[in-house]
Amino acid sequence: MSISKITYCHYLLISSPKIHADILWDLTVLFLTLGGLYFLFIFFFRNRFSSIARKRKSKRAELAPVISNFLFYTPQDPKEEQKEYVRLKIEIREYLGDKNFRKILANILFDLQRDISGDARNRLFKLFIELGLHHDSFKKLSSWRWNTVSQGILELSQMEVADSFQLISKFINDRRGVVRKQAEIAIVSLNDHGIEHLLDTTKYAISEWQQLKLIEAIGSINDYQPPKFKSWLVSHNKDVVLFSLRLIRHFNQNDAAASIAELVKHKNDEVKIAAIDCIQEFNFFDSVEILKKVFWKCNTKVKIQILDTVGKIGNQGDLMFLHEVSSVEHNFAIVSKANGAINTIAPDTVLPTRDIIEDLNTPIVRDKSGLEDSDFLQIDVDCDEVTYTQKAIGIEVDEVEVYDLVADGQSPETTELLSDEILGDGAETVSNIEIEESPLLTELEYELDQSLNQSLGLIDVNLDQTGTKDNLDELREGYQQMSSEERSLFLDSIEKPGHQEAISVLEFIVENEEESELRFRAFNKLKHLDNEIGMEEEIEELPVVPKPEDKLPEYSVFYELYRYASDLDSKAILINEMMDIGDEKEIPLLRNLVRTEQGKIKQLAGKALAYLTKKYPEEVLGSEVHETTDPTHSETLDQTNSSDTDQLAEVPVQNEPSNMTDDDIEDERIPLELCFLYDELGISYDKEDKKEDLGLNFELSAEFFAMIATENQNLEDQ
Amino acid sequence: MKPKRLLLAEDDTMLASLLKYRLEKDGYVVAVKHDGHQMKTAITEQLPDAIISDVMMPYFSGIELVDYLRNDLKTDIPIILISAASNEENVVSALKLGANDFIAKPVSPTELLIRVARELNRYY
Repeated sequence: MSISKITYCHYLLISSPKIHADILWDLTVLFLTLGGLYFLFIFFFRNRFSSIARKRKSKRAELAPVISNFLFYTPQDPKEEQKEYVRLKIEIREYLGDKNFRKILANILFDLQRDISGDARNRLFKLFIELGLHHDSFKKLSSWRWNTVSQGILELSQMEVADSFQLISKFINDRRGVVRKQAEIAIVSLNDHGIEHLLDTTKYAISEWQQLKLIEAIGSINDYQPPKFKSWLVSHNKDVVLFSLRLIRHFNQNDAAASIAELVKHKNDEVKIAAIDCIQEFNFFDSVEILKKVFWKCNTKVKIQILDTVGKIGNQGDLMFLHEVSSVEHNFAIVSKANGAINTIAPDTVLPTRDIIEDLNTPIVRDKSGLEDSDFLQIDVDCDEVTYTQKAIGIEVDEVEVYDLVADGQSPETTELLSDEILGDGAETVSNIEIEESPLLTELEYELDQSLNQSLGLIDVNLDQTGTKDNLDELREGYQQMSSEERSLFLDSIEKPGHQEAISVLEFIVENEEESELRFRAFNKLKHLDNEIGMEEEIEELPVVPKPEDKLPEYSVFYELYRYASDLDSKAILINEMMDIGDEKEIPLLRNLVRTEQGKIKQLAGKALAYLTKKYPEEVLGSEVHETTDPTHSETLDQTNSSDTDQLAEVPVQNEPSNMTDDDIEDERIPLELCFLYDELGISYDKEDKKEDLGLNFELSAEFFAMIATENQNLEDQ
Repeated sequence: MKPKRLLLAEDDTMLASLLKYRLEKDGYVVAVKHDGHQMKTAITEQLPDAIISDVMMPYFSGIELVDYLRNDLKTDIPIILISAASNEENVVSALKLGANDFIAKPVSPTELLIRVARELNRYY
């Protein structure tokens, strides 16, 4: 007790408020009164609302048989029923003066019209007008409240009050969205020509949902005869154009081909896509040409739509366009769609090339004429047979036997023999060719086979220069006789069968081709080949640093790994590894990457190159020259980056004898059996004769046998 | 001829009243029930000649009614269901359970009369 006293004395600031006790009582009474009033208020209104609801319910129950009587009355009914009908009509008219009664009656009719159909429903609409309930709805239209106006429009449209058409049509361009949309639906459902009036007068956008509701409203009209909606394709309101296109599709009005085709050129993409959908749905084949022309100026979405349409309604003549799209476009989706369209028109034309695992055990034919650039010919080389397939024209050559074919080490005799076997007996070779195209293409095919054989080293190009010239002349003549499609295929086939020949043919096409598209493609190819030749000439002009014969060519182990690195991360990791564990051999590869790659990879390659250059300064000059004289890596890498090219792309090109690859080094080595023989017999190996010793001929020479015989003789003599 | 007794189960009083009026005008004796309990009680007390029922009913749905009549009471009196057009799944279930016919809302009273007459003629 003493403690509390002390505490109270020390803290004087804390003190109870000095309020008079009477005021507290007054406040208590006030709040209790307010609480009581609040509950009374709630109780009163709750009862009032309940009472009104009960009254309405009872009124509805009371009016239900009256309305039923009105609805199902017929003049043929018995007299008592007729009397009852007249009595009810008089009675109800007395009540119609009451606003609440009218409201209840209108609500009953609104509810019923949703649940009944047929003749009873039509009678219901008539009853609504006969009882004058539509006047209340008219009054609602002049309200300043948007919800009241909207309610009025809804009532009039639901009860099908045709007279309200003019009144409601004023709201078509109302700035209040809800009112406007309600008016649009009412206009369309009230009058068979309401849709025409709407399309003529509306200035606002018609949302897609609203379009669907309007179509639903049109669908509910009995025996509706739609107008020709193509008339509104010229509207200045793009939403009207879009809605018209939708209506054209809905009502299958396929007589608007020209207008729809023109809309493909519309500046609005939505209109374009809607028009393309129509073209696709109605199979307007003539519009495909316009689609192809418009294609190049469209965005990705429209391009995909166009390609989809071309794929569905296009024909063989459109393949050229699709191939061009596939080759020119960079967008994955577009290219995929183009390839899909090609395969739709001509199934299995485009085959999968990405991530296809090749048979790594298959020996690879070495090639000297740049065949690896060609995606025209696909060659599978087995141990003793060659199968090659011409994809573009559809020719298949199989089981051409090539005996002991070794590209680099063969003797001239062997080459000639093989040439005679394969090409000299043309009848036998051609007999295995299944030709699906015209005879003219057969000749072309033969020319291209020759190009292939030249590429394989089976024909010496220099032996038949005049023949080649004649062939080129024939080729040009033949080209002029080809159809557009054949010319396109032929142009596709000219990749790099031999620079000079290809250039001659391409020049001829550029000068003489009438079709601008083909001419353009030929020009691009010609430009490409010219660039390549220019690069090769520059490379030839550079000084060549001879390498010691006993030293392996510098070859980066990262080269192959990098080739198969498909994404940026993998490439970045490889470049970092080069920097960490690489040596001077990686410098040419890195230089190449700096030149060919972009962005992050280029930066990383530059960083790694700087690091390795600093680390191996003495190798820099030599590697620079070596890199320029050895286009193997750069070309192959370029291919890897540029395209999904054929399997032959992995064969490195050898343009100079001095640029030795692993295989060349391998060829220079003596077979192990021969080494043992030389050692046993004490014969010294002469490097000058190694090429004769190696290669195809492993038989021992006559000198060898003579020497053996002499030694045996000596042994016998001893 | 004794008029046929129909049991109309519909929770919408206005529609029920309208249909009752129309059916009675055609000579049927119609009892209207507004929920499942009332309907079940009425059936238990006295089985009608035919039943017209809404599928969506409070407490006791039209499907349950069909199941109750066919499996519990083992009766095959005509049952005509009234259902919204979107309620196809329920209607199919009811028909599988043994309902005789169904009418989609909005109901045409004339059509209902024809269907009722047909079912009654078929059964009796």
